[in-house]
Amino acid sequence: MNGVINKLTKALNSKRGISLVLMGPAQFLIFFIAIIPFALEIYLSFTPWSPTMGDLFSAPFNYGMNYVKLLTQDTRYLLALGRTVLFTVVAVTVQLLLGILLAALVDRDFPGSNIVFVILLIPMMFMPVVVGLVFYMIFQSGGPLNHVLSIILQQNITIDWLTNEFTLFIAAVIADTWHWTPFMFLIALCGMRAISPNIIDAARTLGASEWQIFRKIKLPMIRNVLLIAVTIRALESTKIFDELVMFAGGRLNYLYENVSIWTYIMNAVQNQIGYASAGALIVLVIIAVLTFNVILKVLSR
Amino acid sequence: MNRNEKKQDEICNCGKRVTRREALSTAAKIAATAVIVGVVAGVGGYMGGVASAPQREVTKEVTREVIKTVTESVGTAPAATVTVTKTQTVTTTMPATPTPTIVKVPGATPEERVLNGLKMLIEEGKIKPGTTITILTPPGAAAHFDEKYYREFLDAAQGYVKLNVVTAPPEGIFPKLVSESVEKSGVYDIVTVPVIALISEVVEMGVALELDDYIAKYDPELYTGPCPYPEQVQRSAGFYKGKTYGFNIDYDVWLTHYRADIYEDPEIQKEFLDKYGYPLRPPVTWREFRDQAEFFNRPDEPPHTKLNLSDTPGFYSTWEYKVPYWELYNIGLRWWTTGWPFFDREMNPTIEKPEVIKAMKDMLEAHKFQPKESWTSYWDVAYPMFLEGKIAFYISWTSLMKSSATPASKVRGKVKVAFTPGYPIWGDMDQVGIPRESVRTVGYQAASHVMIVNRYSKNPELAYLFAQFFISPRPSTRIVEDPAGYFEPFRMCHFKSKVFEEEWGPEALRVSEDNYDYYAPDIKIPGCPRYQDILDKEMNAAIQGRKSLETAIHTIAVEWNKITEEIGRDKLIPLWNEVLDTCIGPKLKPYLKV
Repeated sequence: MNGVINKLTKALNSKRGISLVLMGPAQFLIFFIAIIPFALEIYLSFTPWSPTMGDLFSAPFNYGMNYVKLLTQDTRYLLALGRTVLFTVVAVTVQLLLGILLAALVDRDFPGSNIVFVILLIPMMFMPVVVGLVFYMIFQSGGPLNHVLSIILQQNITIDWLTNEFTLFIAAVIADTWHWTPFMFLIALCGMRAISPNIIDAARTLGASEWQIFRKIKLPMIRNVLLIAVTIRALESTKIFDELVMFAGGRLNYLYENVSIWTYIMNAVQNQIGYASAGALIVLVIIAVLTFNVILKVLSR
Repeated sequence: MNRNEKKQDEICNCGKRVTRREALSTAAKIAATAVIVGVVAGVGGYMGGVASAPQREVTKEVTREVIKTVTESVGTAPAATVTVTKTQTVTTTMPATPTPTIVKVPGATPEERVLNGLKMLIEEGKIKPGTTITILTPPGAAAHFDEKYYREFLDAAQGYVKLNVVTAPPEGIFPKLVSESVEKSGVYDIVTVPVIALISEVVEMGVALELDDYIAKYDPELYTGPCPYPEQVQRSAGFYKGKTYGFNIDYDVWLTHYRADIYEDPEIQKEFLDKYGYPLRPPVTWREFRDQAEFFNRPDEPPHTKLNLSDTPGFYSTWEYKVPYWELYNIGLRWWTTGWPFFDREMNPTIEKPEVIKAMKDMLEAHKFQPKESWTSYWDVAYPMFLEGKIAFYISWTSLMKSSATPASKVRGKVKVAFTPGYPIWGDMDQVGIPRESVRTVGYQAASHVMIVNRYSKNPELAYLFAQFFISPRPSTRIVEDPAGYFEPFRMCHFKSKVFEEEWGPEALRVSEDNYDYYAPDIKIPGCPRYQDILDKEMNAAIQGRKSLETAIHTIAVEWNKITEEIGRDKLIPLWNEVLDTCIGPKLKPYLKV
């Protein structure tokens, strides 16, 4: 008995034993909450599985035909992919520029700067569905935005923002920008405040203007931080869903069907789980490739 | 390191450092082992689950000849019927193994047989104390499952049985059934599925229990006795591949609701006659619908007039849905009234038939005269507008009658119902003023609910008994009379209810009952949600002006054919033919073009 206990004690005290005890539980947890569902999704993406076909493993393996169809024949999916990319590029670019601008303005001491800082962060605290509802009201044809535009332009403006694909796109970009510019602002400001004041002081002493300091010192020095912020926001923007559903009055938004809406329709409406899995995985791969590229770039600097 | 420290290190290895590389390597090995163990355990568990799960039923197709006496409408007069003896070849699905002899449970009525059955199950020890029947239903129907309606049932269960009502929004119930088809948990015993056309998907998913043996044992008198179901409706809701999987528990057949005070006003009648050259009546043909949509569209009508009873300006003719999902019902209704079902008997979509194209064009034309709000909202805005007295007529569910009769309604006592409009059976599609008998009338099924027993229920027979009690004539009448719930008359005796007679008026009840004779179902075949999604998306683009109607219609035809080929045309043809043969109202069937 003592021998067994000694052996166990020795095993646990070995390098491998310590690793096992420390890492094992976490590995098992990750396995059950992440790897199994993900593996299942990969498997389903290679089948035409729908619940009407019976058990999960009863659908025939279709050798990647879902992927072929999605990328070569399914114009609905490709359009959704295109809309997602367009939205992400436009929204994140606007948010980045505004975030940097706000950060540059707030990155100085002035009375009430802390209050301004907190106020600027508030939109980020809202749930996407609430943002969607608020902007749904704002963008009504008889809503406050048209009212303000009417006053400014001195003519009756009755734009139906949410019933036209282009204006709905603009509305979605505005809502997303209001919601997430604070995030960009926060990251940019943190980056700017992390720059050593000595560098700024030295530049000032050498006669650099504020614009030159911003352009030649601050911006290059926060570039890596901004790259991470852009990556995070881009990942999030591809998933925009709540706002679009709310813009359609809480229903499916056929008008601006991005990849999230498409995936929802394929899953929850059309019941084509296997096909939808393939569509979602294509997006995942695209995002993963882009993200790793960015991370590698940042790490290599 | 002194001697003692060395000894200590030999025992515990404390001095050895684990490098990051070594730790990661070990972690990777652990992860790989975990994956292998997990996969083996998962597959083992799954196989175990499959082995212990109820076996899928093996069936075989049997073809036999039967001599059948049928009563049919013949020729041009719908009322004229003759009896014909026909020899038909019937293909039916039969259990591959002989069904054991079923002993019928005694009792004079369906509910009595339920109560006797309950007692027998308890005596046989098949129901244990503390058994719970869990019912999944939309919140709007929860009132129908109040224990007060099930006192007899619970008393007969001698305290062994409790009810547990779980609610989920209507759109959330189908996803829960999808999960159940994978989990096979039996967490719900009874499910009320919104949109009865989904029964085909629900059965194919394997979550609906086949009820025929229980029906034989407890005889719910579906089509017999003093309170039968309209056969075409019950078959539409619960019948699939020759078997019964559920019970219809709602009405949801559309009717035209109109402001009788306006339609019977001599001044308005004269104004209409002068303008259009034929008398005003609730729209019977789609051309009349269009003319009246134009006639009553008065956005500048001041408040508190003969037409506009509300406190705000504006009076509108009607409201057809133009937003995703809800628009499907208006589209479906107009489609059926052309005489073409969604598919012909070979599963070819009929949307490109000239009559259907014309019907869709007519719909878009009528949209021009409808409130601006109808482009972005649905019944959530339309109902209040109608109740405020701002809409002349509105094709809707009979819940509008219920709402109109409430004290808060400004149209209380002013609303009547009529059959929905249709196209003339013969001749020009734009005829007006012709008799109702010359018009193809359709009682279109807009959603409704079907009650199923979960195939994975731990107590399937008990759950079935509950379902039979729910639909039995006496209890079901009391249940649907509850104004707090949204189910409406679904068996013929419900239309004799004094409560409904007071609420709706005898004429509305009669029209609702007669409407079943013109019954037309939804796309009740596997793939229904896929067909609907394409129809919805494309027609919405046409309705909202983002696409030409012709392009949308052609896309629908192409995409529907693709879906049919993917699912299997040969598989779908008999199922669609089953719908056409069993789910159409007797007064509509002779006038279909298939």
